[in-house]
Amino acid sequence: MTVATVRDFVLDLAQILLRVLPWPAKSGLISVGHPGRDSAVLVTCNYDLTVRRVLRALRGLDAYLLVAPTKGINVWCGAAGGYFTAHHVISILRTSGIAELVDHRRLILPQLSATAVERRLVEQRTGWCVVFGPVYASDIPAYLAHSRKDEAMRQVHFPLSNRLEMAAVWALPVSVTGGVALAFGWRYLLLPFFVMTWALALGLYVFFPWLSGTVDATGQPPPTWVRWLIFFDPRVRRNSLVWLLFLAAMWGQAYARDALHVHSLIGWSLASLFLMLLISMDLAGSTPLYKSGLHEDRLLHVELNSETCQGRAMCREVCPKNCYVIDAVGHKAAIAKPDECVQCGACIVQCPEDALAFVTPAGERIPPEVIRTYKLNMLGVRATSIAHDK
Amino acid sequence: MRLLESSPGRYDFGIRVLSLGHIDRVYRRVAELVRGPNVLDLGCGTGNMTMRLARLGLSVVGVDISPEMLAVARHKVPPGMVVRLVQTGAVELIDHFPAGSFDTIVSILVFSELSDAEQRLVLRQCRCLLRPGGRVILADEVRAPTFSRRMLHNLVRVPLSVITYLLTQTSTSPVSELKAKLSESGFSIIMVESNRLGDFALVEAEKREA
Repeated sequence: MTVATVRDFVLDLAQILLRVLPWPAKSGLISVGHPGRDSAVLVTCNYDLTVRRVLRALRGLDAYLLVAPTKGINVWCGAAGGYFTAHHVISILRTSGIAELVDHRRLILPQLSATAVERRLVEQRTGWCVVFGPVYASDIPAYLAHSRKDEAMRQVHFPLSNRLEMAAVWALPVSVTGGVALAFGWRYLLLPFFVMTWALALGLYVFFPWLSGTVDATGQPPPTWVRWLIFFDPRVRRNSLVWLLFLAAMWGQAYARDALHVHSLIGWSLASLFLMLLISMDLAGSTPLYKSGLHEDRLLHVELNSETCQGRAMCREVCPKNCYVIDAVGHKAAIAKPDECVQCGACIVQCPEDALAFVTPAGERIPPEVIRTYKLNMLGVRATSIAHDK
Repeated sequence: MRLLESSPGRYDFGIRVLSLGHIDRVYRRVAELVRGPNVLDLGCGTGNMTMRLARLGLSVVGVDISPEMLAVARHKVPPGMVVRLVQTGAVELIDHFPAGSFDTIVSILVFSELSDAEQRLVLRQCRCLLRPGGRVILADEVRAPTFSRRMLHNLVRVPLSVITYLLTQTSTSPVSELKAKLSESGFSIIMVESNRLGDFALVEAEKREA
């Protein structure tokens, strides 16, 4: 093993454990191999883990990689949060000097950036032609070799390795903050607390494919058993009755046995509070186990106006769940798998005819221009309040 | 944890705390230096500086990349006044305004959020947008001049930057070589005011004729 491999491994591990935090790489132009005037020009975010993974995937190829200044946030989160937009792409095109290095004007963006990067805006301002490449960096070599994207390259997966990363994302901060709180006087609770936190997070994500069978995609309120478990859901407002009952039972039982060790009971209350928070956070949207009120965007559905649709298939090109089918004869798109939709909004942002829009459960239409402006930041309650201000 | 977006009003409070109350003094000082009538507030955020300048009777345009911030700024436009607010990136100024549009361009706590290459390009665009003899006024975190001061800066700044991140989800890095960058981009430095630690500077520079 070389020093570089060890360094890569250590960085991978640190960044996976601290995935909730941004980790900026230097933005700018990277020459991969020996690129020439016809070499492909690819764009990615400046989240260090992503940049290193893309470079690993490009090993053996000749290409230019533009690392856009996205505040150290990954592609999909950056796009949804407004940190990876057309402006960031324009910035890297203008500051990197790439136009002088190649003869073509074809820019390959990661597919998941389609949630925010307005193709039209980049093309108008810079004269570059934007195409959305595959979701995963590992598909880039095949994509470049055949210069086309098949259905598999467009699909987002949630394999075990990704799910374990997500488990660490949640378990680490909760176990550390909870652990720090407990360390002030309940050291004996630390081990059980750690075990429970990690077991809960790992259990949730490892069994996710089976649990997600119960996902209700229609945007109905969560099943009754879930409602008793969680904080945060404005439609529920029972604020974790289960936890309060647990506390009452614990305290009552101690009182009945005449063994009221207040100190230890406070410790357990605290530990269980952190566990309840973890459950709430996971159930309230971080795993799409149910569509919660914490993430109002989960309750939206996409509406297609067949009259304006010209069947130009941009929606199919950018949909990470392959929800769209195109009728090539009639030149119309159709949403074949509405239940698969993850409300990323990419199809709406990219539709050249503005034929798509989000519709809230109340029936209110959120038009493409609002989504292009505010991304997913401001959808739901916040978006509608701002839209009404205007 | 999108604390800022869920309450953009918190940005103003956050920045006041993080600057330890100095930000109002910066706004005041910049307002004294600005020469009108046409002023660009680059990276206007929630519009504090923009509206202060508008109340002075200047014709001011605010530019920011964040639509959320601009939505807050829109609420602060004084009644009866028209303040143009434009949502765009910093390196796209020349796409929106003709050359020679402004007498002064102010930019407060913006350059520290831009990459080195962006800073240079923005300065070149600013030069183009200023009328002959026009000025830029920049106020920002800068790299402290000596090693000991940088250490002192880190001591104060590192805990604050954690709070900054939690409040605003932005990470900044102090601007280095600001004077050199200005000079390379065709500006002559008129005045530099630094704090005692040397990690915050207010720089006024004039467009140099080619």
